[in-house]
Amino acid sequence: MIWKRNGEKMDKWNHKLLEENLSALLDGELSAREKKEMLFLLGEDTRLQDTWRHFCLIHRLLQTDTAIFPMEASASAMRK
Amino acid sequence: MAEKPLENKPGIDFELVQQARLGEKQAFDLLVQKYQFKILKLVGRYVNDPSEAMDIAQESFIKAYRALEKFRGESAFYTWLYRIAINTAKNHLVLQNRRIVEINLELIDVEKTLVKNNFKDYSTPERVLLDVEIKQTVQDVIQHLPEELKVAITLRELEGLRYDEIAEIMGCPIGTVRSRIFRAREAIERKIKPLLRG
Repeated sequence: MIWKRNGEKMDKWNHKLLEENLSALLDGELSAREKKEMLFLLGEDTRLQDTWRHFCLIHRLLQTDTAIFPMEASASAMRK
Repeated sequence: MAEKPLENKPGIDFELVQQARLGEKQAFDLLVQKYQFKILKLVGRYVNDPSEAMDIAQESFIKAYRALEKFRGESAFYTWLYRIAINTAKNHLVLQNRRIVEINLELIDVEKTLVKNNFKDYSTPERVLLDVEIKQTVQDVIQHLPEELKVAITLRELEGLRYDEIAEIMGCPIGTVRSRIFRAREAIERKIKPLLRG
């Protein structure tokens, strides 16, 4: 378990997990307890706030420009 | 066909509203960040001038902030917010037509700061150019993503599917979907970050 032996990497690893939680929070895919925890952390961590802002921006850009998606990646193609 | 991702989960919004009511201004800040562009787009249907639209959007958020106590969660937060924005835009037009120029909002400083911080530079030519550049960057990144990440983020953002639905389509566990969507966003964020700093 390299992450547990190296403090710095452990920190980075934990932060990645938090960012992944943030992504799921944005999608409304967290449990009530996780949501509560993430909202608390969001209020404390400026790096997470930046990430949240960027994820919101990305979401906005993807919603307003559907041409951004290549045809082959559409859901109907995936269902074939 | 599922609804769009952010809008179909009013629970998050309601929790943010609850926290904002308790004095957590950061919580309302997040709501502003989440809906500012939609509100701008909405009020943009009523007024053509971007700076005017921005003023109306700001005023809408301030009104919403002041009226948070009245929000009971019977409808989605964004529905409630949209209603406020539309009324604000309509009132703005009525006042303008009647040439009533004196509107004394007497905004509390903290409210001003709270909302203004999220609208900075939106309507400047530089910002518009930057928006185009960021959009292009997002497009480039998505096109070069590994196929599984591209599909996951597409199904989520374009189709508005839930993680369990995406998992079924892609034939993988929900945790994998969650990870793929995050990795796609992370890859996009990595590329747009330098542009946002500039």
